[in-house]
Amino acid sequence: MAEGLAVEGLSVGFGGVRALDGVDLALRPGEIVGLVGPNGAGKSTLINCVGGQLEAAAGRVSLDGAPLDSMPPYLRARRGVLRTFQRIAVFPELTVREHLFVAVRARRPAGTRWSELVDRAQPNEAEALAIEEALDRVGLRERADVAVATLPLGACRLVEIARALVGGPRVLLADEPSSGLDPREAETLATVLRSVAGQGTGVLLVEHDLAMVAELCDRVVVLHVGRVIAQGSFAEVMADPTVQRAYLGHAA
Amino acid sequence: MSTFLSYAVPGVPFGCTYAIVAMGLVLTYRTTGVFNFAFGAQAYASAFVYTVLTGQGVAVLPAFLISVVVLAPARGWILDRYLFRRIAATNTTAKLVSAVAIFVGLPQLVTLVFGSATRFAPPTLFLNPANVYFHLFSTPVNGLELETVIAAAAAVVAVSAVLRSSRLGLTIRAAVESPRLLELEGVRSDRVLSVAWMGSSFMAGLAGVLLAPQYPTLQFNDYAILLVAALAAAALGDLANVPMALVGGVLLGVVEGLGSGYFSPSSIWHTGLLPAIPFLVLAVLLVTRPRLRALEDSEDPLSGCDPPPPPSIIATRGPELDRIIRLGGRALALGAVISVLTWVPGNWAFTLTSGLVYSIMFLSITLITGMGGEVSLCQATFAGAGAFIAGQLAVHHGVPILLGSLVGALGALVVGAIGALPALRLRGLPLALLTLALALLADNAVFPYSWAGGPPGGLFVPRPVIGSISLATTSSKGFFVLALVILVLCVIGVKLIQRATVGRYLDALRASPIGAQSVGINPSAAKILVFALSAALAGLGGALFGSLQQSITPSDFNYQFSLVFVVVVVTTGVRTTEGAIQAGMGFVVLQQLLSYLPGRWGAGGLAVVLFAFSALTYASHPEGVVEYQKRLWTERVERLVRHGGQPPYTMATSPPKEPATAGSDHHG
Amino acid sequence: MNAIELRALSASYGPYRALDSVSLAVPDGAVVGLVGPNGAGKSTVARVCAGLVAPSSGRLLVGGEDVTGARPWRVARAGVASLPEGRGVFARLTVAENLELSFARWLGPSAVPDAIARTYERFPMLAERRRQRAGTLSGGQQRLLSLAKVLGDAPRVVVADELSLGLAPAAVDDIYAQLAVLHAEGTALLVIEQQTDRVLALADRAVVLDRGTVAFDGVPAGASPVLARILGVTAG
Repeated sequence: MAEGLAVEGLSVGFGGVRALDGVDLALRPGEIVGLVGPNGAGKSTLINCVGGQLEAAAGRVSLDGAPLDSMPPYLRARRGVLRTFQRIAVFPELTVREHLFVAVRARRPAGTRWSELVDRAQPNEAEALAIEEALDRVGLRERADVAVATLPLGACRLVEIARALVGGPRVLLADEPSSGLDPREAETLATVLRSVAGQGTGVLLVEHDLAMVAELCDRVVVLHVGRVIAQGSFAEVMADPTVQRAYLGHAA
Repeated sequence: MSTFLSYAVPGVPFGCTYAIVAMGLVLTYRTTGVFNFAFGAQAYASAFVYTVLTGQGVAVLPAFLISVVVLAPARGWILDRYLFRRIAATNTTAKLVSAVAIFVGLPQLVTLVFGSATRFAPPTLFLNPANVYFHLFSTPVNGLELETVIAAAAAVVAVSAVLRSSRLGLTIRAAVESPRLLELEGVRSDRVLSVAWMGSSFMAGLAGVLLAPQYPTLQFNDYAILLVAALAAAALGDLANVPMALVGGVLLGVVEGLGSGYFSPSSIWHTGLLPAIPFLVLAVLLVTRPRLRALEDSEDPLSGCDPPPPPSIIATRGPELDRIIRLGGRALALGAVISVLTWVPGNWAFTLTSGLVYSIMFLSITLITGMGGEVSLCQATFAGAGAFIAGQLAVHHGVPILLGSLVGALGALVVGAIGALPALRLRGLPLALLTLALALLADNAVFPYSWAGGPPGGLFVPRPVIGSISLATTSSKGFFVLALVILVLCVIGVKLIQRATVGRYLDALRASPIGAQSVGINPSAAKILVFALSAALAGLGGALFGSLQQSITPSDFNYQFSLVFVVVVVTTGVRTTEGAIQAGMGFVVLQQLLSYLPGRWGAGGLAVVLFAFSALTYASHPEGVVEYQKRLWTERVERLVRHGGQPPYTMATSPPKEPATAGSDHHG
Repeated sequence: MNAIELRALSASYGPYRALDSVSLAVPDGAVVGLVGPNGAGKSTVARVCAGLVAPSSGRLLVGGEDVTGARPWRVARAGVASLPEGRGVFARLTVAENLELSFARWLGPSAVPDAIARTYERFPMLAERRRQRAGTLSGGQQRLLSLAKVLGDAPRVVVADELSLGLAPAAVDDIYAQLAVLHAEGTALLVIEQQTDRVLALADRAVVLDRGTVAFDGVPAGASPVLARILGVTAG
């Protein structure tokens, strides 16, 4: 069985419009694949299908050969498919540390124990270690005990990244993680993504910042109106005339 | 066939009364963004004024002008100006609770001002009610029925016209989606919404006056039932489609007409199923129609302009002050307990005891709304389940009441867990409506039976006997101690969950269900757990309530109590266990104090009115009045202590939060 | 005459001070680019200019008229068209209804059909989707729609917050092409951006904001080194 994430023949429609039309995609452990394309091409739809937020009309999604198709999002997360959101979905009242605690605890494949109804919500040793490591990675240690509601957008994106990677996911789906980040924050983000991949996590990166895509991605997949129109190395893909017409515009 | 028609035809005008209210609900929802429970109360208020005026000899036309053309829009203007305008467009809970508050408060206010004397049906607006104008399939059609059908037809045309084509309709729809975005176009959104509210209130007034002659006497209860039945008709049109709401209303009326024709009046179908049909339909629609589930999905694109909510005061106040306040609170509680046991007179001891029992029931709302983030409108039903189980066990099987109360709590827990199953995919308004439908199903199809809600004269629930001590009426102070112990245990339980891992999961789910699921939190398990535990608390409280009262009837637990409970707890403070206790004690103490007032002012309605009107402050302080006052006073004290230092949570400079890329690539 | 001007303006976001005595002006017909790191207060400037956030001190003038603390509709009527960050259109209204709403307000009901026809000529993409709900458009299409409204309205000044955020390069091209058209038609622009290259190429003047204060105000070429120093990185 193929290791990593496999997407085969995925199709989704929204009221007659085909948002995804037979998309195939493979993501091996440790690989960073860039997913680019014009707005409305189906990138977020693809991420939502893999994450379980959206049900596909046809096609299959599997992780290490095991199908994920009928699983709700929380079970996929417990299998190791974690994601970030284009519109951030943080928990404003919780601190950064509490975010990470919730994430690392909830992902345990065994699920919730009855004793957790009355425990003190403290991480065990292994969890604490994972939380501290994630905090260091995204550089939020000084702000670890601040309620996320008071953090600016850039920091919230990093909280989402940390929440997804705490405890080491098999697959990280990053939906425009650099959107709204300033160059300094974007640099932190790039470092984090590279190190996550270095530990064997497959990263699917939706991104409009082509400099970041060029710098990070092993492979680039271009979507247009729900179909893969090109894939290969960054240079190959950007040289493709179809891609230039559909995505890059006259600036390229 | 002719029998069929003779049953079906009279159902049409009856269904048209549903339809008129249903279309009014759709109009209000579409033009104000508020699901207006208050519609029933507004209709009643206009009908009341109209009835009073015509009863005093005022002619029909001036009475109509005053009650519908002048007073109804004025009421809408006031509601908008002082209540709904202050609520953020996306705050579903606040909008829902405020509307429910008006629903329970306004009729009580009317009764307070005008008295509760029986008032007979007012004259119809334009047709002679007794005159039979023609026969349809050999069924006589009288003026009353004809007038209702004509009004419904006129309403469908008028409401559709406002919503569909006109420029005003366009502007109103934009204002509902985002008042601020519309202001960027140079439009005064506040005025637009004012007009919308006035229009919707006019519609409510018109419906009220049209429907008043249908009932022999004027009673709010008829309007309340009408409103909740109309919900089903409105749901059939997804709360958006006006003609479908008309069709839905007429269908419901015809089905009821057929039902009451074919089933014999004594059959179980007639007494049990028939009154429950609208709520059954509503429940099924809510669970099955995807568009109803998605009602609350859109967001205000400019919500990023709002500053973040201030943190809970307990989290921000200094440690010394915290200690002082805790000590003070405990001293106060201890003083109250000692007072009750020593010098407080019997009627006040009883009042305070019932306050403790209410606090236990209200804790169930802390759990489901404060921690679970959902508004439930069937908490009194859960309480009733606990009370009736305990009472029936005691009466028929001689089970001791304390044991019976635990069994009752367990029974409610099971009911809550089962009730959560259809609600798994719902949140916000649709979920609240589903709980209301469940409450009404229980009211109509379960509690009326003697095996459930007891015999017509009331179900006897004994006082507990502990060892050789009987806590019968003579010694209600013993019951006070018992209730106190149980309340403390419940508070400890809720606080434990708040602090536990599961409490964190609930925080996460409340803030962002999609984010919480993406890290592995199981939303269904959490919802079932919260509903079950909340129902168990309510059931335990209900059983104790029964034991305290010693005799209970289904009307002690009907859906209107669920509504009052939610208003009382949410306006007091739903996020903390303290809020539930303050709500419980405040509710009974206020009622007892007001009972010293003379005449109808002391009859009990005033307390409900006061709580309903405190919902006005709730709009500006969604954390609850008590929580807000706590913050205010803590800040004052801290400022005093620090000699003019900064408020505790101010930081020197911290950047504003910029919203995420709203809306872009939704379908990408 | 300045189309819009902030004089020693301070503003807060909840308990946080977001702007500290900021002064900046956009002369009639000029393009000013406002750049800076996250949390510098750029979005707060946009919200203050729209009337969505009331300043705690200082003054806001539109075409010389003092609109400090005025409600958004007053500011809009003084001549400011705001393109808020993210979605600036009504998601539940159709494309045509969005245009109609705006044109009816600014040009009068009788001018609506003409204005809409001109808009469809300019943006064939919108004509194809006229009956579609705006919420179902892609992010780039939504922003083109909000620009199309503004182009028809011919306001005195446009304040655009993060127009290119989350857009594909081709979509950003479209947006900037339309901004250039607006500029050519004599509308003053205050363009707030995270990606600095495009805006600095378009602007007559650049302002760099850092932690709520103006760190630089001058020719666009001077902004990049200041920005680089603030960010502590070589990238501009």
